Amino acid sequence: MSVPVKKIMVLIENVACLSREMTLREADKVLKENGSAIGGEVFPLKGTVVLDGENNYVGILSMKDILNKVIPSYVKGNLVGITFDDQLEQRVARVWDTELVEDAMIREVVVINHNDCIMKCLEIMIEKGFQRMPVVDDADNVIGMIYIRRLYDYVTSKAPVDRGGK
Amino acid sequence: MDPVHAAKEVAENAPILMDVKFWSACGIFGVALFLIITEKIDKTVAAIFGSALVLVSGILTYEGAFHVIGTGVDWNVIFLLIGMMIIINIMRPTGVFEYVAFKGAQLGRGEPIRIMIIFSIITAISSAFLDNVTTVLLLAPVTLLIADALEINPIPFLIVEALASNIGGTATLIGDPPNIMIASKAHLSFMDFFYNLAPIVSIMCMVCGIVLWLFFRKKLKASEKNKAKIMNMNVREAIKDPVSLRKSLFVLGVVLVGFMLHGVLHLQPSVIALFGAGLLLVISNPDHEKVHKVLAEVEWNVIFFFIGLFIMVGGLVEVGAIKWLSQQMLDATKGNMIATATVIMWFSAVASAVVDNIPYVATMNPLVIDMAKELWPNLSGVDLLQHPDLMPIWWSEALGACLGGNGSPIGASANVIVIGMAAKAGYKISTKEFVSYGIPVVMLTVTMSMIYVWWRYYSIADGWGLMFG
Repeated sequence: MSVPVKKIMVLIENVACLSREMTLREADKVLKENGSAIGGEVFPLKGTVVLDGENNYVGILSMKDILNKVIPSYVKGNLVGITFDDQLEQRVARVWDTELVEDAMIREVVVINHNDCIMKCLEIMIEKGFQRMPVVDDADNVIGMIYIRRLYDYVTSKAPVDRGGK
Repeated sequence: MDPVHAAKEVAENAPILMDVKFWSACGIFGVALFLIITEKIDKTVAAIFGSALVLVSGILTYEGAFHVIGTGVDWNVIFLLIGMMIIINIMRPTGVFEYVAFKGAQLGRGEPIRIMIIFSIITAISSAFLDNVTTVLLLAPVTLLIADALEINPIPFLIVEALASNIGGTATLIGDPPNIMIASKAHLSFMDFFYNLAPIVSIMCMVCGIVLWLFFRKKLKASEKNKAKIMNMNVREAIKDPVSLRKSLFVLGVVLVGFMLHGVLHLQPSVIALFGAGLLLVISNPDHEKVHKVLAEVEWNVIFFFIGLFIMVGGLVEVGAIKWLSQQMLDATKGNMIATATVIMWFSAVASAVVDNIPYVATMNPLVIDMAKELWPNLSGVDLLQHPDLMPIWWSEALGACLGGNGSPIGASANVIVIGMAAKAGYKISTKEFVSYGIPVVMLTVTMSMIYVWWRYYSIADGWGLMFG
C-alpha cells in the first residue's frame, strides 16, 4: 500500500514561514534563525514557503532567489568576472532593505496533496530539482512542508538490512 | 516595342480601378498597420496573417509574392539580414564588444562625461557596421555596470546610446533596415550610402558630442575613489573566446571589404553577407549543437515580419494604391523636387517616430518609384531609379526614416531595448524623460540633414525660399 505524503511531512506549525511584505533583511533573519546545526556549524534554512495574511501560499523563497536579487540582471555572459571594489557590498546594500520577499519569490508554486503517495512526491521533486514542497489539504490550504532530506531518510530506511560479508 | 513591354506599359498606364480588390488590399494593410502600431497583437503575427489574406484572396498571386521584383518579397533584404545576424551571433559570445566598451571607459579615465562621449562614439560606429539592436544589447549592460561602479545614474548614458545607435546606423547601407530596403529597391551600393550619408552623419555625431559635453559636463560627477574602480577593472575577463574573436574579426573585415566593393563586383549585399556567414561558420567549425544555437538565435520573428510586410505592400502596389498615393504627392508638390525631398524627409522623420520605420519605408519605396515613373515615363531600370533628380529623394527618405526613430521610446527597436534593460535593472525611463532627449536630437539632426540635402543637391537659397516664401 502506498504511503501518503502526510505521514512524513513537517506540520506547518513547525515550519518557519515568510510573508510577502518582509524585506530581504527580515527574510534572511528568519532563514538564519531557523537553520540547522551540522558538525558544529549552523547553516541557514535553504528556503521556505511564503504565506499571505490568511495563511494561503503565495510563493516560495530560497537562498538562491535572494542571491538572484543581489546579482544585477545585466551581469551575465561576458560580464561575469568583471568586478570592481566594494561591488558586493554596494549591491547588497542596495537591495537589503528595499527589495521585498514578494519581489524575489517564485510565484509559481508546485504543491502536493497530503494524500498523494511518496513516490509521486519523489518523482516531482527529482524531476523539477526541488528541495522542498508545500503540502496542501483538499481545500488547497497549506498544512505542511515536505523536504528532500525527509524523503531521502524515508527511502533509505527501506534499504535491506546489511547482513555483512559481500 | 516587344509584346511583353507593351503589355507592361498598358498595365502601368491603365487607370486605377478602386474595386473590391483595391479596398481589400488597403483594408488588410490598414488593419495590420493598426495592430502593429497599437501592439494589440504581436507584429509578426499581424504581418504573417495579413500577407496570408493578401495571397488567399487573390490580391497577389504566388508568383507576384515570391518571384516578381516590383511586388514580391525583397529577398536581398531578407538574406542580408540573415547573413549579418549569423555573423553577429557568432561574434557576440567572444566578448569583443564588451571589451572595447570597457577599454573605452578606461581610456576616459573613469570620468563620466568622457565615458558618455566615448560610449556614444563606439555605439554610433558599431551601429553603422552592425545592427543597432545588437549594439545596444551589448553596450547597455556594460553601461549599467560602469554606472554602478561610479555610483551615478545610468539613465542619461543609456538614452544617449540609443540615440547614437540610430544616428550612427544612418551612415551606411547595412546600418539600419530602412537603408537596406532603400538600397535594394534603388540598386544603390554601400559606397553610394557612404559617400552621401556618412559625411553628414559624422558632422551630426560631432555636433551632438559637443552638445552632450556642454550639457552634462557639470552634471555628471564621480568621486576619485569610484573612478579608480574603473581603472582597476579586470577587463580582459570580458574576452571569453580569443580564438573565435580573431576568426570573427577576420571575417567581419572580409565582409566590410566585400560591401565596399560589391558595386564593382556586381554582387548583391545579401551575397556578401551570406558568404561571410558561411565562411565564419566553416572556419569556426562549430559542433552540431552550436550550429543549431547560432541559427536558432537568428531573429526569425523580424525576418517573417519583413516577409509578411513585403507581401502586404506588394498587394497595395498590385491594386494601384501606391500609384494613387504617388499621384497625390506629385499633385501636392507640383513636381518641385526640392519641396518633395524636404517634405519626404520631415514626413519620414515624424512617421518613423510614431510608426515602425520598416513598414513606413516598405510603403514609401514603391511610392517613390511610381512617382519617378510619372516624372520620367521614358526611363526604366537603373536609369529611372538613380535619376540624378531622384537621388536626393532617396537620401532624404533614408535620413528622415533613420533619424526620426529617436523621437519616441517606440520609434526604434534600440530605444525599446534600452528602456527594457534599464527597467529590469531597476531604472525606469519614462516617456517624458526619453522624449526630452529624443525630440531635440531629432529636430537638430533632421534640420542638419535638410540643410545638407539643400546644400549638396540643390542650393541653400532654393531651400530658404521654399521654407520662407
